[in-house]
Amino acid sequence: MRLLTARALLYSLLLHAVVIAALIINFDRSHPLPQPSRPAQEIIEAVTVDSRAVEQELQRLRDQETAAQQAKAAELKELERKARAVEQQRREAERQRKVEEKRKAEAERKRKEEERKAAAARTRQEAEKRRAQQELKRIEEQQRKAEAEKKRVEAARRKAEAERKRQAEAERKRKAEQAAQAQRAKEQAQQDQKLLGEVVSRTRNKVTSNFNKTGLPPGLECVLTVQTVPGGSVVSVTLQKSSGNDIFDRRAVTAVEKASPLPLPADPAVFERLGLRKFKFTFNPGG
Amino acid sequence: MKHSWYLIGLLPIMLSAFGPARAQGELEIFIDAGVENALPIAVAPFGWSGSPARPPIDLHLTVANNLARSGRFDTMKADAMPQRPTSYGQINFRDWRMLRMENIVIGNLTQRAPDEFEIEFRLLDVYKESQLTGFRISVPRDRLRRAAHRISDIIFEALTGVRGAFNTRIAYVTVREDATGAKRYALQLADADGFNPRTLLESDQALLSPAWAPDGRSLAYVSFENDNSAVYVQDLRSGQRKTVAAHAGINSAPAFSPDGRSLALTLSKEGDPEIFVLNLADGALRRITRNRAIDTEPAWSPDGKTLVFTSDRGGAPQIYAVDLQGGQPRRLTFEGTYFARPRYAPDGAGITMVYGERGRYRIAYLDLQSRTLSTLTNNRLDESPSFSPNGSMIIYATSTPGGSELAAVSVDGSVHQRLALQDGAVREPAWGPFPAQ
Repeated sequence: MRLLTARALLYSLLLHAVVIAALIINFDRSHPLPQPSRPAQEIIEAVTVDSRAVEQELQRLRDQETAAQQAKAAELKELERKARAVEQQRREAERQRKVEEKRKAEAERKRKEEERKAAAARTRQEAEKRRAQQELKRIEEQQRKAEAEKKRVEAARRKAEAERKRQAEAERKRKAEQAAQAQRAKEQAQQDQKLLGEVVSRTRNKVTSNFNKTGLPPGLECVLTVQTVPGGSVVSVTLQKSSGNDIFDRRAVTAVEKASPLPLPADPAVFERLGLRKFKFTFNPGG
Repeated sequence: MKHSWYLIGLLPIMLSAFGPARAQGELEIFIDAGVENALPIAVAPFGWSGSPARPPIDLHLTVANNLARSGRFDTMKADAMPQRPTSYGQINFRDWRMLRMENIVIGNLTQRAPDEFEIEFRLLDVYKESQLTGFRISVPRDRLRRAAHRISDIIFEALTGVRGAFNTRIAYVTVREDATGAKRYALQLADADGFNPRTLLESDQALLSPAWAPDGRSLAYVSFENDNSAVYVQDLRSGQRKTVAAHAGINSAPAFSPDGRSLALTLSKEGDPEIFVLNLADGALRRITRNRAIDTEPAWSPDGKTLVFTSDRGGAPQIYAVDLQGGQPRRLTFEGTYFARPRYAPDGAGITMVYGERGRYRIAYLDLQSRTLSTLTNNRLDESPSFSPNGSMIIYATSTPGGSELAAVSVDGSVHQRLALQDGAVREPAWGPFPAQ
């Protein structure tokens, strides 16, 4: 009995295998190729659904077996032959399965390769993208900097321009002021010249009227340097060049001293402008 | 006794207007003219320390009068002075400058013994406040006046550059009538200001034409004491004299040559009055003029080469000049109808003479270079002009209602002064030479 039982179990197992194989094959036929992305889940679900059918089938088969053990013992040989056929079929199925597996593995490998490639591509793309972004960012940064630089340069240029304009304006004003000043100076100089002429004339008259040449021989000449202060007071008289005649020289000195204060401007500014602080007298009354 | 002149200075005074030449390029004012004014001077009364209350002489007055008479000075009277300083320290120069005064003379007279005095004086420039000159001298009483003239000379020369002629003498003739109405002639000597006259010779007969020897030691003159005119030369110190010309006719108008060896004079021994030159050493006579008219009153040029004289050869008295080396006399005067009694100026540049016009006889000066004639006096009857040895003044005689007197005029005609002398008529003044130095 036991042998029988084992045999029965073996049959059962075989049967199970056949049924399962059949179901799988059926299933395979009835279903399109699983999506590369989610094959396992489909398979598991199919098995689960089919397990229940297998249980039912097994129950039925056990019933049949019981009946058949007696009834069909004869048929054992047939069964064996059939089993061999099944074996053959199984082997074929195995082979096919293996082929299929290999194909699947290949497919899987390919898929994975694809995935890896895709992932690599993605990674590459992402890196590429990051680089691009970085590059972009860099360029943007560069551009921003360039822009800022440009703005800075522009601002500097504008500032320089403003400065240049300001300076040009200042220069223009300065020149205008200078010209005005030159004009004023020119007018002043003309006035001064006229004033100086009057001052010299009046001074000459005053000194001449104090220069006593009585009894002196003709043809003498001496030069005096005088220092004066505004208002004409004579501070000092020095003989720069003697006539060779002491009395002539002394009379000349006395003439200047007696003429003090000379008719010179009292305004210190005018006095200085006319250069009257120090000047010369040349005494040469002729014959 | 020795009477020396010691130059004195003012040691503390280092003021001087004369410094080194300075920078160039300044304004230069040319003074090509001037005025011809007398020089202002104040001679302050001298300090006096001696026994009587008053000094024997007012030195400042003598000096001031001398200076004023020269025509070159405008002297300030003592009562117009702001102060009467007798030392440098007392002088307030500012006050004097306010009065436009240029020069001050201060001094002191000190009696050292009854007849011995010491004079100290200084001439100061008011504007420079410095001393121009100063002297200290010892003088006996009888030479005080002469010392004052010396002081005047020093001041004159310091301020004009011309040697002063105050310490000189004049010779002249006076004519007086005595109680009986007889005329008394006298040859006189006096200081140049007319003071200190002394009589050299008196005579009942006319005395004329005194002429100085160039050394001042003798005088030539004409005397009629022997009823005819004769020319004498008299030594002033010894009084000895000798007759140098007593020819028949006129012996007149002597004039010493500048070297003193010859005498030009007028003689008529050959007929009409002619000019001769007498060699005083050997008495040789040389006739200079040969003309039928009157030639007289010769005068030597300072270089001794020319004689000028009066001649009426042209119809009226005119002045002629003749070269002693030979040649014809040339007429020098043309403007008027009467010119006489010529005398050279000491510098030889001109001649003074009497210029007669419409009944008036005045003193004139002829510039030989420009030939211009200027009349110096404005009297009715002037005669015998004579130059001071420095040429600054001319002394002459002028007629007055009471007779005639001496007068002086500055060469520019600006200052006239009568010299107060004794009574009677004063004639023919001759100004003596500079004293020997």
